[in-house]
Amino acid sequence: MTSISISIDEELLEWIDQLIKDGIINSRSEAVRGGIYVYIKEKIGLKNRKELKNYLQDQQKEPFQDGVEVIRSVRGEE
Amino acid sequence: MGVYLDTNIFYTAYCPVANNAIADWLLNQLTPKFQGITCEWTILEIFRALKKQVNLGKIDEKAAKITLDFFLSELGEMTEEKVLKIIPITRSAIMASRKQIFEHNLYAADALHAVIALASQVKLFITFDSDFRGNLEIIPILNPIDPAFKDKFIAQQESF
Repeated sequence: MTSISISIDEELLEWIDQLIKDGIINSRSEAVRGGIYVYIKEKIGLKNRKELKNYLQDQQKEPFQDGVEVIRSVRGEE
Repeated sequence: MGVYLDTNIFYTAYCPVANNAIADWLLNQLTPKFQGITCEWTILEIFRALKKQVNLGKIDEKAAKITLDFFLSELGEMTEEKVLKIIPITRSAIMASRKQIFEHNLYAADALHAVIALASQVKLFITFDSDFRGNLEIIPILNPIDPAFKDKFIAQQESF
């Protein structure tokens, strides 16, 4: 993994460190990584797979290919 | 210890297709003690599968990109929570695939998934593809459309 430096409020960092001490999270890195995934979902506007399914049902112009059919065809392209 | 998840499991869980509910159920059953295991190649296959839906006019590119960003976020969360392990593709996995390809005349991807499942010593190989031809030796293949799938999965999970 690559290390990066980030700017963060002192209070937020103290809170994260307290959560580590309490055993709720394992490390500062884990907190940042987890936060990124949640942030991306928030920005996309989809919280879970059910919301994704509803979104795609609204968006689809024709029914999707079946899972076996599409992955077989992807593998057959080689 | 865990179960190998073929690419079609993820596609079915993340797309509005038949059997979506059982694929969703399966992902929700994974735990750090009974992890889902797949390989990096799965991610590439999902990229291509979504692009194919764009090419076929099923969805537009924006919807496909949103789906992939959501999928990658969930993979990240699942790996952080240790309910999913994504095995890197190594030269040794590629070399081991040679035997699968020559002895069983497999597609490259089928061979790679089989090799990584074997190396990971998974308890089950789960796929919707009843024609999956990889040589998995003693690893049982389970298809989620099997009416007894949930019972079989839970029985394996409880044995650990």
